[in-house]
Amino acid sequence: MIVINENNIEALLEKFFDGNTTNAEDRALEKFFCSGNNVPERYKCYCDMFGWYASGMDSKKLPSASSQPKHVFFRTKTARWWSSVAALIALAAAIAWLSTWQSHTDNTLLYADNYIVRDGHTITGMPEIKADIDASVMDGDCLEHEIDMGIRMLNDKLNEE
Amino acid sequence: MSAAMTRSSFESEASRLRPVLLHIAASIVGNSDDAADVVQETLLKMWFLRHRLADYNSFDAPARVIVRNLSINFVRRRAIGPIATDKLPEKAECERDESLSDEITAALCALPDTEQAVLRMKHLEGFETEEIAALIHSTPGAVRTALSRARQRIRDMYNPSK
Repeated sequence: MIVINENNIEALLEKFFDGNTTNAEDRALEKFFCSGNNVPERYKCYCDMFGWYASGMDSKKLPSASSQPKHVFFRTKTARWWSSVAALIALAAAIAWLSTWQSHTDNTLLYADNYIVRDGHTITGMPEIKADIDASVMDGDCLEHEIDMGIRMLNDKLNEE
Repeated sequence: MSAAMTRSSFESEASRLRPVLLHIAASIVGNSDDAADVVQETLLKMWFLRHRLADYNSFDAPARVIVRNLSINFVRRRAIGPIATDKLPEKAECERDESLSDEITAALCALPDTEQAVLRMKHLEGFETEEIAALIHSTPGAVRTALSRARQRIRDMYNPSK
């Protein structure tokens, strides 16, 4: 029968964590750490662990969720491909929208001074300037709607995967 | 196949099938050492499946499914091997196989990994390290390594600072 005390506890623990203990040594360790009062203070941190071994090793009773698998997004290759496509479309759309917006900004600044320059000609008059700005804003709205539709379709496709 | 697979029957079946499993694993993972690790894990899973094998008329089919799936997972994890990963099937963890029933497939999905399996065989089923090694045709050193890793992981869960 194996007797555990302060003289051999450290060596046995090291042997345990190295995977070198016999079944008899394992049972002795469980018995020692589940005894409660005889465990030196600096080894009390192992009591709960050996209690888990002694009580049947229910994985649900482990203290940490670190063994739980991380939720992996885009697990499949197809899903990753679709996500890449979505990113490219969003990028292209953003670049197109930005260039439209820039043009719109230029016109707005010019609009603020009540004239625009088109093909080298200075154009004044509120109706002409306003129509030009309104057309640019409509283009931006349409493009934004197209982007939203595209992203919705891709999300639906990803959810099907 | 006997209704309740004894340890000696299991060892006999494992011994018979091991060369075939090694061949399947090696053809996917690309080398014999890694194939041996995969087959070790396969036989461990088969050990935990032994109570269900009485309902199924073959030891071979579940073993072949497990070793194939584990080999694919092994290649994916290491990103090495003679087969490019983009040529591998999309899902391998619990791939449905026409030769197995849904029940067996579900049981396969619930099996522990190598470290958990060795821990359970040591602490719950009372096997010594050498007995586990003999059962799954592995070495005592490999079993001790798996056992050590499992115990340290459990220790770290209870004592994160150590």
